[in-house]
Amino acid sequence: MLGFPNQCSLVANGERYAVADYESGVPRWCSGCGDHGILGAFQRLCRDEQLPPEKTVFVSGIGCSSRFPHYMRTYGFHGLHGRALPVAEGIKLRRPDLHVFVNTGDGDCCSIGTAHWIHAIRYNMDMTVVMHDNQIYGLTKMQMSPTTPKGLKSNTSPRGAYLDALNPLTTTLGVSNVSFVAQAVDWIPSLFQEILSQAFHHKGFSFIRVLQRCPNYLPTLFDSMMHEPSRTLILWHEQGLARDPELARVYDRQIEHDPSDIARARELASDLEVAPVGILYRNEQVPCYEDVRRSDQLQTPEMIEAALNEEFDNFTVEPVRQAETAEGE
Amino acid sequence: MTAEAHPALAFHLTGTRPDGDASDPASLALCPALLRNFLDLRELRYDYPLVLVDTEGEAAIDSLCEIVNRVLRSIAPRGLDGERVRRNVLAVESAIRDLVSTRQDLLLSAAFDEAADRQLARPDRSAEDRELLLKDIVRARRELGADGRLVGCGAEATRAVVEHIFRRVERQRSRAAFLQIERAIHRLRGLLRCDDLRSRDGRGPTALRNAVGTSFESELDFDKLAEYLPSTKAESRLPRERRRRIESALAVLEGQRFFSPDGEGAYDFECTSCREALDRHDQRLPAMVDLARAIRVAELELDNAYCAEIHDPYLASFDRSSLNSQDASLFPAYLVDVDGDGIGPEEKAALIGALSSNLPFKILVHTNDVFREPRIGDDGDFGAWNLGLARMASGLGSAFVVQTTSSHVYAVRDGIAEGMTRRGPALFRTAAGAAPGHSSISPYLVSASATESRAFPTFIYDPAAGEELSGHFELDANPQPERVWPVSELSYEDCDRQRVVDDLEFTVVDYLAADSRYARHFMALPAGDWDASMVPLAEYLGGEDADTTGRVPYIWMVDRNEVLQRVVVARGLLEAAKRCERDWRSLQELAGVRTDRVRRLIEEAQREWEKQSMGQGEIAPNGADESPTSLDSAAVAAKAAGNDRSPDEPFIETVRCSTCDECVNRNNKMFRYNQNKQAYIEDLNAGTYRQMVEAAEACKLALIHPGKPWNPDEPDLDELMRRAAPFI
Repeated sequence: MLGFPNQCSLVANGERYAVADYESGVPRWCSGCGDHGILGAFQRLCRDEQLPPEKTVFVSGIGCSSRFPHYMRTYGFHGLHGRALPVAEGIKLRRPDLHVFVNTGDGDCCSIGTAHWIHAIRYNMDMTVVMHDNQIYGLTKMQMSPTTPKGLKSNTSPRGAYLDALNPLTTTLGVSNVSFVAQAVDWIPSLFQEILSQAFHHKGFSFIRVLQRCPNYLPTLFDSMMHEPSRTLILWHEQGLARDPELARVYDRQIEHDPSDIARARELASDLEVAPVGILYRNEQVPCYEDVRRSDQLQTPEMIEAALNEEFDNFTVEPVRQAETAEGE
Repeated sequence: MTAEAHPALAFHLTGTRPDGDASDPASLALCPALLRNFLDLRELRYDYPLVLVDTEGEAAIDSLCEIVNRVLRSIAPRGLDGERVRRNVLAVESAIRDLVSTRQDLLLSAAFDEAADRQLARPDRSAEDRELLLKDIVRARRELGADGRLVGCGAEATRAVVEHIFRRVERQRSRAAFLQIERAIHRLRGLLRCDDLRSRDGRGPTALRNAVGTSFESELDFDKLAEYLPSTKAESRLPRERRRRIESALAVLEGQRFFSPDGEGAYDFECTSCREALDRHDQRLPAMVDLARAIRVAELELDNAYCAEIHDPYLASFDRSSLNSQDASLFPAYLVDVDGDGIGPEEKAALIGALSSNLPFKILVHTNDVFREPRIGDDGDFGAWNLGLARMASGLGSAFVVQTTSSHVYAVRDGIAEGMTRRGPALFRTAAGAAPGHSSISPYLVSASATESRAFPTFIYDPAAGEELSGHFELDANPQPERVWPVSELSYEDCDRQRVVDDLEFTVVDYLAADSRYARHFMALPAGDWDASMVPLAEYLGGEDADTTGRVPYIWMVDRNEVLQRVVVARGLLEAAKRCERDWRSLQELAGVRTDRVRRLIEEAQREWEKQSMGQGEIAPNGADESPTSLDSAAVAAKAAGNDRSPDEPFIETVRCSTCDECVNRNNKMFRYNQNKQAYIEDLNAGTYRQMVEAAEACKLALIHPGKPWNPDEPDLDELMRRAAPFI
């Protein structure tokens, strides 16, 4: 904590956190919703990494997925629509010792929160961001989102979506300072778990898009992918996911992809017929904004007050006298 | 055989020369042949002078040559203009070298300005030349980068470099530690402040008035306000014992004298003897123990992890023996500057003690004389202590060791910085070329030839570098580290005026031949006396098994008329050469550069590989890339494993469960989550076959396999089995 590694050789107790220690409340998501799987994966990650709940923060915006912080027994911030990332950045900047996670939906991230998303990638602050992409606004009862496939009918696009869907992967891969991009699907939990773990250990802004089922409004959207394993392309590499022979039983389309190859990553991410699952891109060399801007200055309340006073001294506020006001009137 | 019949052999064997003979290198002003081209350093560009950079964030040590190269890369384009820029800037560089050779404590910026002025003032320049020169100088000056003191390759060079790196590292360490302690103080005070705010006084009128400030003071009745505020429950206050602990730790942290905001603590951590450093460390130990204890308390309190049952007894018995190596890395290190030429037995013992202590003693043992006054025939010392100290320290296993001459200090600057940064002791064994016998050659050349000749090889020993011993040693800074003696080309004109190029080894004897104190061990032989019994020294030394009887070893030297001379070496000096060779081979062995065992292993591996290649045809490199066939096999194998289950038995593919709650919401007694929050069948009898089938139908991933009914009395079994069939 003080920056002196393991100064204290005695840990207070030998307790270990279990998954149940991170559970809070009963999730109100529909049965069969992919959010359940993502929640379970995060709870397992916290357990595996033994993250102290008081050192862990989940931040979200608005949407079904953004109820996430309520179900984690850690610190949480259920914020405004599209504003999860700036809140998370503020937390990380002020408290770099905290583990910061962000849960955002396709509408939250790719619509109202797009500007924050783009700049958060560029700032590359150390946090793990999972975009729950069910390709629909579920909380507002089936409205089109930026990732809704072209032609899909919804309450706000009764004749079908007119535009091609926004591709969150290629968008992320196109931003300066991008350092970690991966894609997972909620129906292959073992892969998602591994991707999440690697994202957590990546120093920088780790962006994971999770294709996630919405059993209520788009119950068949991902059926073709789930029932045709050939539409899933699993990426493995010694610097990425390990090859899993068990998965190969079902998903026989597996290729070796070097996560440092951004050109190939963009190519794979652009393929709309086959969903690449794994780590598309990783670059450990990109500096984190909080490190770039880290100051050695200690900021005590007294120092902050002194700095504010110095600023305020630049202005003169003339008190308006009661009598003068009355005359003016 | 008589001395008259074979004077060379007689001299080699006895070391005595005929009366009146003045054919020693000193009398004839001979110079080792391979050093001839380097005598005038003004013509050369090399690492020196070095720049001791003060700017934080920049490398601590830079080289003028490197700086100028960077400047030229930045401002000199290809073509004629670029050539002019290069010529002008290099002229300034050369002028800086001249300045540094006569003056000390020059800053790079000041030296550059003065050298530039000198160049501009040269009378042989035309006005146009001068204008262009000025333009180039101004551009180059802008690109110079970080400033710092210039150091030439004199007797004090390595000391200056080591001290500079030490002070930079320690300043950073001290500043960082101070800041961390200040943060801890700030946060501990925050804890106490929060507690104060909960106290009766904290909610009293005065505290409230102070909190509001003067702007609205008159608008509020603080006495009334204090009455309305609810009183604090006792349990929400800090327990008295905890508060006392925090205050006690805070007092120690606030009173510490080891660190300060400018990186300079109240204590002095530099001294000239290991004994003194050990004594100082002992005196400061109680304060170190107090501070280390306070840091532990602060960490635990701020993490809210203090557990009285565990930590009270631990901290009560906390003493000097509780300090660990991490504490050692927290506290400032000691720089001990030991005079390697005058070290006595007591200091030698203290030195070994300090290096074995696991404490942060950074010990610089500097010598100007690698080979002390010769004592051939006395004790065969030849400066054994000097030559063997670094090797001895590496044998202790805990100390980081850097050995270098001043000429190579730039090459190992990162190693020196690493040794300073690393927790634990470090030895910096350095040598300058400032021995009295080498007065006719520049110190840089003397020290460079000490490394070149293996007399004083440069090496780094890092005790923490990997598990294999060979990984601990680094010999890369030595020329041709894979060879026993480095080989260079000697180009000369023979009697027929033809150019001849020979490969020539540079041995420790060549190095000693340039030292006037050893002149009596050499005898130049007129060309008329050369015969077939004479062999080059390296060949003579290399043939351990060969019969050297009647052989006369010689080296090549050049006289003041630029004529090559064969110089016979007296046998007594060969002891030194053999010892240096032995030591160097041993270093090579330790560093894994050249060992008979490694060679044998490589040969064996090659034979094995060839044998396998012949037996199996192509070998997949590293076996890394599995063919599609093998992937298919794996899939088939996995599939087979998956199909081992009985279709009658209900089960869930738990590892593929995505925790969607479908099944557990139906019946959380029959279906349960495991510790990974993935579903499994807990108790079949807690539910019905219908629930099982419905769960299977609802599971989007089709992970639930209902099997056969387990209760034959359940209604509608036929229909349910029909529905279950796709999932079995």
